[in-house]
Amino acid sequence: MSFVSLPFVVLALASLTLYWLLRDRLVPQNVVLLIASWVCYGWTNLTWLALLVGLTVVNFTLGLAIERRREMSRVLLIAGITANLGVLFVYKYYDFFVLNVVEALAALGFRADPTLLGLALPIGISFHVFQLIAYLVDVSRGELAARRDPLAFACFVAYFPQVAAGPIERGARLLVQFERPRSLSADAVAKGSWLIVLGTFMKVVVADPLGPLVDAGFDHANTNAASLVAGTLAFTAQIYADFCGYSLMAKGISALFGIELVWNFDRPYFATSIQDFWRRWHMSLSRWLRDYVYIPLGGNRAGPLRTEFNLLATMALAGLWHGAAWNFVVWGLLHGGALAVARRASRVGLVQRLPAAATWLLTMVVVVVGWMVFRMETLGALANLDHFAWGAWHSAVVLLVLVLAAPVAAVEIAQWRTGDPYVVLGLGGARSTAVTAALMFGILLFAGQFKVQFIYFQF
Amino acid sequence: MSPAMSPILSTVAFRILAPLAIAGLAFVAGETWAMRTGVPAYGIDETILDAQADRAARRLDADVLLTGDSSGLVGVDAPRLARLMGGSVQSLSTMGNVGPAGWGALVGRARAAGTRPRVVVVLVHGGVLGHELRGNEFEQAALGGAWPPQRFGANLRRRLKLALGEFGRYPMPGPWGRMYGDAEGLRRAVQSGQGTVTDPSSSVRCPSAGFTFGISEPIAARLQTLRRELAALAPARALVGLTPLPAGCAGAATEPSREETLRRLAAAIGAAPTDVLALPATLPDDQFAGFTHLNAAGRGRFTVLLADGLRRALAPDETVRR
Repeated sequence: MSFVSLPFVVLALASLTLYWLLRDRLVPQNVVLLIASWVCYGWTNLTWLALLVGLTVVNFTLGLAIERRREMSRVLLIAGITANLGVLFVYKYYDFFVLNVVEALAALGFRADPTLLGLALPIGISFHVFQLIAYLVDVSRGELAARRDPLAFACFVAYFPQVAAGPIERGARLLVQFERPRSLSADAVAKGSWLIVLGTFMKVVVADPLGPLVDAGFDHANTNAASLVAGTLAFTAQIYADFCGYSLMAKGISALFGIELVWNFDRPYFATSIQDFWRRWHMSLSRWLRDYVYIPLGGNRAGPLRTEFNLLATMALAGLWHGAAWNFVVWGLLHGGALAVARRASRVGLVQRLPAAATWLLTMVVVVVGWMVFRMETLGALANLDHFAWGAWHSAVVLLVLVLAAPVAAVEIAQWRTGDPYVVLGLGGARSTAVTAALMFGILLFAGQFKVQFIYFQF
Repeated sequence: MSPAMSPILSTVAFRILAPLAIAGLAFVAGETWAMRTGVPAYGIDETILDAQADRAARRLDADVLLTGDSSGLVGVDAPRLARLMGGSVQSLSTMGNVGPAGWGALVGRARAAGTRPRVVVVLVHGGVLGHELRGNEFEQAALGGAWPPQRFGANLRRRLKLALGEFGRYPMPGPWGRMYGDAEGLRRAVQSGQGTVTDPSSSVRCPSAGFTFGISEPIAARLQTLRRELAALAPARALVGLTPLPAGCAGAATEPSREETLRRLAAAIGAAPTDVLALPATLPDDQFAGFTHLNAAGRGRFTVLLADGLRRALAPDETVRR
């Protein structure tokens, strides 16, 4: 169920009303949350809900077993990770894996005719699988006590503001919030509603109208490289506005339930290095990869070469996490390679000698080229390009990107200058109301005009 | 109400409801302004109707004037037909939901602009004749010459989409976007095709196995308007024909019902039995872009068949050329 749909608005308002009517009663409040979450998740596909419930039961049980049987904890942890990744593999990677094996065999002269599963990918499966793996690892490390309240645990897995596309939360942050009384403050309402308005604006007014232009730019039949350039620039704005918009809405909606979600974005296009970019882009995934992949691989503790390998391996995994396709892996390797190069350049003092504008530009070149690779369905499409002819359409696309993104850029510049993510709320009554009203007007105007699903729902 | 609720309600009032009220009022004001003039949406059908209405308002050099639904719009290659017939051919065919009254209105506008064809050909698809056509914005736009106001809330958004479309040159959806690009590209194609275009789609789905022809009551009533407009073009001769079905959609009852419907259609528009064009009832499925639309290959073949049909319908001493 999409945030920008009538059923979701009805569900959120109904559950919010009931939830606060039951204030100070933890268990009934959690029941409301769980029912709303399961309705939201099972809305389009009951099988996916059954899978989510199954993952909840398995991980809840494994968490307890890991804690109670310390001598077996490593085996149980491996079993848990295997079970979670197994589900992910079956739904997301099996067909991709089989097709690549068949292609490899065909190249060697062998013919195979395997059965493909063709399963529809459950919404947000990569997000909740990673969240559950983090829970099991944290329990096995003794950093988090295994939970004994199945209701709170089920809320942690299915919590509807974030189940579809994150942020990937840790048990120590989110789970504990389902176990203690929540309260609603005027401040939380103001901040939550502002985030919802800004997030919806980013989705409906910035991301969605760019969708058809991105599609046109990346059209397979297009042989003009200029169209790919314009499409990539539009996609750079679209994917940020789409995913950040979702994350802001998730954080805002959650705030209205008295539950705080982590920030997932921190003005990533202001980054002046590729490391800085990954500290600002999809921050919950970056931290997950750092804590559960990069550091266990050895991080930066085993010399420069090993560090660079670890960066490449971690980012290749980050790419594969997004989807079962080689372009995602190449995208991850591109970022991993850029991180490794930036690390070397920094060690020899090259980065420090460059002005901030130059490092920002270099970072954006990597990021934008990365988005081109990310968005292309097949890298072979690059071979179709046979000329570069920049025309009126390309200029119009770039101008439209700038016009649509300008309000968001203005808000982010104000955030950057003040260091306050809620800077608009601090503008004072009339000015704050005027800005919010302007964004709401934009939402009313654009609502329903470009029906584009959230990009990250597919991951 | 508990004291703790007071600041929350105040926040809801000032942070949410007040800006929402301002935004809502601004939207209502904008919508009221936009409703004063009808604004077409930025879509394929709207663009085609607009393009044909613009063409109808100019004096067309047309020995043969085609009219009817979209099966004629995409099923005929007017420049090629002109070469085959040795005279000028123009089409004002639009869509089924414009209806016979709307087709007639465009023909009437062409007449008022000074267009004087020798032959008018009404080409319709059987699937359209059976429609329970209700008044819709396309028919109203064709009859009234301007797009009617939409339901409240849609007009300002249409204006926005049109402005965005003109500014950003938004591609049309799907294969139409790939072939024609934006609305302006499609408009140019309609113009250069003398009122005909190619449908780049490819999905033939029969509405029912063994399609049977028929004329619905609403269509029959609207055919009277078309009849009046055709009569006003006298001495131009009115010919009528049915465009083909995909062969896979035809059954045993198809041919007899087609004959009967064609006879009723001719009578309804005041055409004599000799004014009925001999055209194929079906063509192979692979020559269709959809149930009612031929694809590029089918269009080429049907254009030749239509030229043959026209030659047969015209007396030996009759030519389309003035």
